[in-house]
Amino acid sequence: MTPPLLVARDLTRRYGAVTALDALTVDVDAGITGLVGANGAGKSTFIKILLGLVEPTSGTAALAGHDVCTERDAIRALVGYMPEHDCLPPEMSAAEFVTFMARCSGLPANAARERAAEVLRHVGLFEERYRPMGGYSTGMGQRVKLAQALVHDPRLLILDEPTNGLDPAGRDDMLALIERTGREFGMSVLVSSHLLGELERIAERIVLIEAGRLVRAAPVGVLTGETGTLVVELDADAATLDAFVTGLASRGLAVRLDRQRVLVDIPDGADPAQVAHVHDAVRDAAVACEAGLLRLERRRGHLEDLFASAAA
Amino acid sequence: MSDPTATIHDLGYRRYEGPRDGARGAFDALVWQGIRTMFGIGRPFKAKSVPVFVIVVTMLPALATLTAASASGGQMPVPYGILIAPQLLLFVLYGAAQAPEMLSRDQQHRVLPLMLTRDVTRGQYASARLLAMFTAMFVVCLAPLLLLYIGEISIAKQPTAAFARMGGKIGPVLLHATMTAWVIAGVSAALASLTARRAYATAAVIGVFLVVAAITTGLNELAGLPDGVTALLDPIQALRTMALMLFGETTRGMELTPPPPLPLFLVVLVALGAAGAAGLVWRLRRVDL
Amino acid sequence: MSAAAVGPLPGQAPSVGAPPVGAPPLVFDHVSHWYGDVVAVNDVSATVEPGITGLLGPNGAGKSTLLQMAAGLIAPSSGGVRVFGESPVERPAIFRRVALVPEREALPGMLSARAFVEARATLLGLRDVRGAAARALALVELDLVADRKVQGFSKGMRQRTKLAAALVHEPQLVLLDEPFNGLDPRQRLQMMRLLEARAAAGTAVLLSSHILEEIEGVASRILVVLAGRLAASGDHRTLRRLMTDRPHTVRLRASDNRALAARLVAHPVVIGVEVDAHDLTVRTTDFTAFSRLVLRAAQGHGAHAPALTLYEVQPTDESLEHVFAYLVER
Repeated sequence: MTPPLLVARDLTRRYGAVTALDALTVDVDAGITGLVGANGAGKSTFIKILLGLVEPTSGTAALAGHDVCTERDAIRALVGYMPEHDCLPPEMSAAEFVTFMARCSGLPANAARERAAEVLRHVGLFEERYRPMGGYSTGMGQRVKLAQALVHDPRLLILDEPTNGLDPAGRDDMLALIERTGREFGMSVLVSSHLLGELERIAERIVLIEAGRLVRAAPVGVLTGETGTLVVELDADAATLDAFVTGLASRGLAVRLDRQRVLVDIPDGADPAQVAHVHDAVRDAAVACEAGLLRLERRRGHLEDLFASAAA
Repeated sequence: MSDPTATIHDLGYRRYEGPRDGARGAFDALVWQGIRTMFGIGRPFKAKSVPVFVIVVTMLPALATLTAASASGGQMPVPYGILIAPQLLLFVLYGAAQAPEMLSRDQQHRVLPLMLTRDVTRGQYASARLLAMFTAMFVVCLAPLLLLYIGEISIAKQPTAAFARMGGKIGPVLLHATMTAWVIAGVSAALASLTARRAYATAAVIGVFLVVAAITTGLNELAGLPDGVTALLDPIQALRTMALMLFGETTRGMELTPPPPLPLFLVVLVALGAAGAAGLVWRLRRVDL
Repeated sequence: MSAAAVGPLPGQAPSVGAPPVGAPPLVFDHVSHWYGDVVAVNDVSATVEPGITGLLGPNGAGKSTLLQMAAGLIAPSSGGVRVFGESPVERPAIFRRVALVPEREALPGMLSARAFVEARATLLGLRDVRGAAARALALVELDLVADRKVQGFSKGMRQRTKLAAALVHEPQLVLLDEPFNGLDPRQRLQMMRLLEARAAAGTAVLLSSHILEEIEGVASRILVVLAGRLAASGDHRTLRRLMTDRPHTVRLRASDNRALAARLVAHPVVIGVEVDAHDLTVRTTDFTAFSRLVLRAAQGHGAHAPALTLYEVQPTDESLEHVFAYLVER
């Protein structure tokens, strides 16, 4: 078992009377991790501590074995940060900016220039990299932000709302880029985001922080795993739907209607034969009603469910 | 047929295993980038306009004086202090225009947080910016005086004799340029770091120098504060008086009331610049990211 | 209404006659709007009924302009906007039935939430300013903190304050520009619940966003706007089925994938079949016909084609994202 990449133990940060982080204890493994939590839950404070921008009041955190407080220099080389806010001077070009950032990370001038060029290619900026960034679209700006985070070859990339301001096509591109970075470039990624659907797509595990404490840390598969409910969508009018539901109920199945979808409960502990029986009943009832089968699947958990109960 | 000379190169992501110069490299990069910003190098013409304007305009009187002096066959004296005195305001203008580019801009575009996650501490950032400002200002303040110095030696009928006679002037030339650059850079950097809006920073720098001049004049004329004291309180006046003293020149006012001794000027100006530097560091330590 | 519109004073009757009965809350009729050379909205025709309608499109597509025209803040350059049957431009009586929550609206930090909402109520000329404000604040669940200053509020609370101010006169048409911007999942869910409650009570809600995920959960109808034009309208699943020039992709899992594949490939509506380790992926030109075909194929026919169990049938390109990508490409 590889040791976790990031380890936090009783990490606490107070600002006067306000406790931003309250004895946060969490292990984050290598790979792509989603960081979720309400606004003000402590995510930004946690990130700032990892970046060395803020000192914890108490507790420890270590990245790849290096303590965040005592080995600041080592940490700086290991972490890349893509902030949520705008940070691109409009009069500079992307090439200049990323090169400068590389030099701020201590890379010698020639290496800085080469790495900047490489990294800009990886994020998909070509001739536009020589133009002043003031004229860049949001998508291009986000790519530059990602490039400067990568240029010094960190081990952990921290991304804060990376798809901010992007339209749907831009989002897809950015998510694909992040996935590539995590899978192909051999880097671990910590993505802080409010867009749970996006995290479901790219994250391998989720860390949920609430009021400065860890509430849940689990693989995405567990959180979005199958439930015991079968979702059926039919191509049918209201009357046919009712007939379908009645037909299933008459076969002894627990069934209910949720807007246009029919939900059938699969009993706990049902063996494969019983499960197959339920599916076949659905099939036959649909044929009997002359409806079409548009969708048949187990309902899955959603990351949103982590928040739903609390919002009620 | 397989062609052994055909290859597809792996253009995938590569790790960086090379040297990392750490804070040292970052500091140097910041200073160099700062100096380039001070002169508008690598920027469109607009960014160069103030530096170029100041350099040209401050050099012109020196050039004119040298031309007249050479025409007069070396008889006309070359007055360093009197020539440099009016240029001081232009140097302030230079500081007021460029300090915001050095300090306010990074705050405005929120680049500072990014730098701080790298091998740059707040203290190092402040020092690098100040060093870049000081270096550039030193060059600009030195230029007219150096021109006079080199010119005076060159136009003399016997340059070597002239050098032997007045070569020592290089000392005061360097000293004055250093003091001017130190004070203006320190004060304008500190003021510019207070705000992210460049226009406000420029106005603040010009405003502070003008207001201090006005107050000291008021204190001098209305409250009867002695000339010697006001010469120390107002940095522009201090630099002006110091210039005259360094090059052995005087004005009527100075003949009537002798100014304080030179070392006192040095102490006051060094302290003022240091106060500016300290203010800069203090401000950057506290700025919220 | 965010404009400083003053309605009739308390005790006065409205100056405009009652709008036609049964007029839809909002109608865009061949509406265009341009600023100089920039055409922000280009010949858009759509109707918004009670319920939640999502206005979807990339940044700069014209969503904000459409909302402002609906609120009567700007007049269309051509075509007409009708709110409950009448043009909303400079018609105070219409303002009373409409509310707009703009994307960027500075809340004066020194005011309490209650003061802000009451100020809005006063500007609108409501009779019972305190009562209306109290009800609106209760609706958005800010009643317990209503007397705190707004500057201490979180983003979610500020959004709710703006919403309360917008709802204080109980409008029948509520327009929101990017209401979920910057909200965390819980705050977003809460805002969605509030809007769903309003919609259930008969209000027409039109909200804009450039984030599909936000709209998918809450809107029953969407209007997709691209570069000022209306690219599509309707329920996104139904829209997908209208995209007939693009074959549907459906993933299936049955007790015997290959057998099912063999039975399906015989039919003309099936244009592609791919079998891999776990699933069967089918491409079809007619999803509706396929939905019946798959059932019959699974049921089989006698001894030579025994019944197969269907475990999963999943259209893989019905998401709002796919619909959107398709529309963008046209």
